Amino acid sequence: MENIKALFVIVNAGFSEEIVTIAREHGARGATILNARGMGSSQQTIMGITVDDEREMILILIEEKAAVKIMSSIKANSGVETPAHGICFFMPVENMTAN
Amino acid sequence: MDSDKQHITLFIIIAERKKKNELHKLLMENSARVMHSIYAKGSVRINSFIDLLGFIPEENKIILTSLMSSEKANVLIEILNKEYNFAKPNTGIAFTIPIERLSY
Repeated sequence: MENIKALFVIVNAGFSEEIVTIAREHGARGATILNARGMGSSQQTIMGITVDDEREMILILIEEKAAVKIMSSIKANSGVETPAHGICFFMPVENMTAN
Repeated sequence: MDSDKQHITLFIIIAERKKKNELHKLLMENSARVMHSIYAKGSVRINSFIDLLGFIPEENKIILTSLMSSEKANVLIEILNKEYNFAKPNTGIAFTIPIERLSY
């Protein structure tokens, strides 16, 4: 595998399976899912309790060409206009363990 | 600190949670700095039979992040491949992301 990228996808909680399915369709062997919370410019407060938006962050290590295809597919099917509100970006991977 | 001259890299390990302590010790021994651990889960392919029974298998993972020189990172990658079998499937994965700029 050459030119590997660390692809990060951030979606609303509950949509990670959808993203993993898209990634597998484009050759990803697996993904790691983290729970996160959105800290937007405005926060909802209910009876004095701050309520953050639940998010899931999916990390996929994949070749750059596949990463671009996954991002296009996510934009089309799970993008910001959809309930998943998917946002993605990738970062360069300098070195990694053989796998 | 000019990271370009010192080639600082973000070292990320994703492995099973039970390996957290030994991997943490390995990072400490290899001069890792600014270490963080994040609990995560792996993506598991569920077959229809397991889904029918209502089992939801969970792959509990730990993500360890740290900063180190790229030279140390290369050494650590070799150690993880050979001594921790990261070269084999379903053991763990480690990778580095270059740091362009660092402030502290």
